[in-house]
Amino acid sequence: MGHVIGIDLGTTNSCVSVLENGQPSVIPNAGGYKTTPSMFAITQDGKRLVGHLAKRQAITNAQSTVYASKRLIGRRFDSDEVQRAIDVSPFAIVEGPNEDVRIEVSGKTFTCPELSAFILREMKRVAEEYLGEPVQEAVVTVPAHFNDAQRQCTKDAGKIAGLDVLRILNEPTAAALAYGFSRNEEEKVAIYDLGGGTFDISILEMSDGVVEVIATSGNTFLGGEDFDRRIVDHLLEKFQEQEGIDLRGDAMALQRLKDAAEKAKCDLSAREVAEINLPFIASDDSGPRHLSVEIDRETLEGLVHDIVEGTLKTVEECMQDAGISADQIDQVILVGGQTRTPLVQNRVAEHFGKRPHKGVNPDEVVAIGAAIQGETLVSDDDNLLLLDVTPLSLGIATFGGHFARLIERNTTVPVCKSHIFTTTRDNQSAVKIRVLQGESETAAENDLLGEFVLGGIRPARRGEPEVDVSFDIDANGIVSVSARDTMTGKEQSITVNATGTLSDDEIQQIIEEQELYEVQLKE
Amino acid sequence: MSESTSSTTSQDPNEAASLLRPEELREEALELLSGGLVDDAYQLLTATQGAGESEPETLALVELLRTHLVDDVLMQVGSPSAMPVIEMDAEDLMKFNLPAGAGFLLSRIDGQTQVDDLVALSGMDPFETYHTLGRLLEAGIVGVAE
Ligand SMILES: Nc1ncnc2c1ncn2[C@@H]1O[C@H](COP(=O)(O)OP(=O)(O)OP(=O)(O)O)[C@@H](O)[C@H]1O
Ligand SMILES: [Mg+2]
Repeated sequence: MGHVIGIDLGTTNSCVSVLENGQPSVIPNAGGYKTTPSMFAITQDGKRLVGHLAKRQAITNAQSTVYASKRLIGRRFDSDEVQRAIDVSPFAIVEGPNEDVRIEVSGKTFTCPELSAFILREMKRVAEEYLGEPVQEAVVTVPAHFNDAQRQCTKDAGKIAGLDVLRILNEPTAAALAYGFSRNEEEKVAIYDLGGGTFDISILEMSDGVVEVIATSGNTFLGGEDFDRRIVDHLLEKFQEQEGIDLRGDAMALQRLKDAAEKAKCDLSAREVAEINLPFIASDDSGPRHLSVEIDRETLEGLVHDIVEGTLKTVEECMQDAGISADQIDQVILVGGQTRTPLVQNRVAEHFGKRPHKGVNPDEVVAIGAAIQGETLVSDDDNLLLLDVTPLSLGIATFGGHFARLIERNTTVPVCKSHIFTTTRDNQSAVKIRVLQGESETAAENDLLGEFVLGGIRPARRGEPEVDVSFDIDANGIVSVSARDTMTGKEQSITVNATGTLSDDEIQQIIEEQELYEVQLKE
Repeated sequence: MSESTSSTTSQDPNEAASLLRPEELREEALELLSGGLVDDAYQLLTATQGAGESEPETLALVELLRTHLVDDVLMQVGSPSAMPVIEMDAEDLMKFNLPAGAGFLLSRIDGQTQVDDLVALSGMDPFETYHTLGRLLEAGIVGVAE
């Protein structure tokens, strides 16, 4: 049987891992990198680029380069997140037919699952090249706070990429698995994940192979990119001081500055000083100009320390939410490439009063956990039963626009809960079940996951019929809802088809279309 | 792409106003072309004021020269999948007077990016990229990995 790969489908970078003889390895791409930028672009002459190539032209070809589409997947167009992304993204984000999000690149419109599929397909390809055999099955990770729609869309993306997604796994859970914590006695683990574009903090409770996410919080618009931006601004100022030239409007210069800023930032994780040399960055009547700046660790820390403090504030809020104090945390794990910065490590250590674990590379640990989980799933090893929690409350809309909660947030999944509802009018023959997810008492303020009608209710006075509504959430966090008329036994159910999810036909069509763009390896 | 002299690059068009009429310039350009001086011919027609930039004959000739220039570069590197590398240390490099476009292209050359990908991610139009690459090759700044 073939290998199951674990894919960390990140906002900024993606990573793929596989278990070989019981040992996880992280698979490098052709360039030798172990993470691949989650970017997709179409160039002026129609060429499609994924990964590093796309990243290296992201600023000079800004309108046709899509990044961080993970922020948009499975969300409604009018959501705050999407509106915020519209404000900060140079590419065109438009509304789709189901109030979902579409992205226009070079005159073509893509759904978010399609864009994620480009990345997943690339990771699949990287794995196949390394293993020398086709790969079909995968475990793909998502943030713990992803709702049903976001999980479903991620599954769709897998399907489009030609993968059978065995499990959608929470990122912090994957990280904990990679450290093998679930086999230990009862422990509380804090997972601090600072990636390129998002920050997540999760508190897990683990005992006897059971992993429970007891709280999760974060900021989907905060990460390493903000560090880079601070350095770029610093360089822009330095250059203007030295040469009197403002490079802000110059895309080529900005591209080079961004690349150099990120590189310097990474260098400064291992060294005290980094040199930034960008020859021929500009020219004017007096000839070419070069940028040459030295930046030391202290300067970097001065530029970013408020960002780091901001993450700790979120940590504090999350812990309060969970009713846990720092000294109750047994283990701290660092996840995300940005946690390689010493300032981040030191501040997190101070905050929890203990050194975080960093045996596994922070930007690879999630993929490794996913690979471990994948292997467990196919080898029928129940030693590693995983229980995650629902990130948001689930319920239905009731009379007067209220929200009746059936499953509270942070309930462990899989779970099944039911409740009896009744009619509000005499001789009412049908009820409409509107399935919602969110924390507001007002139905309209929560996300509508789907709706269906249960008809054929026998005429009766209002309040007499009994409709048994039950919610079922599987281990992937995917929701199905059924309603049963207890008198007639009549039943209706849906697997919630939330905003932006694609029908099988649509997925098939996308797959066929993408085949047109397939390239083959040269013999 | 000359050392420390003021450059004759396409960044800086209309440098010289011509004393010749467009048809004479075209003849001159064809002469240069037959002597293998494709870039000079191209410069003559594109960077000279009054070269008849809107005349169909000039446009056709410019197009032909562009094709020649791209073919020349592809021939020099061997194939679109060839891997350009920088062959000069930073100090020597600084002696050149390169426009920012060439500086950008150089910054994308990492020994892992093949020619056609370089063209795709250069942010310039494909011809401009080939043209710049050709000049970097000619100046010995860039070579091709074995
Ligand atoms: N050595 C290093 N020192 C500092 N920062 C680094 C280092 N290596 C990588 N990074 C930064 O880590 C970030 C990428 O982290 P990672 O690959 O974990 O992202 P991601 O998982 O896609 O992000 P997200 O969690 O937002 O989905 C980038 O901003 C990158 O610059
Ligand atoms: Mg991540």
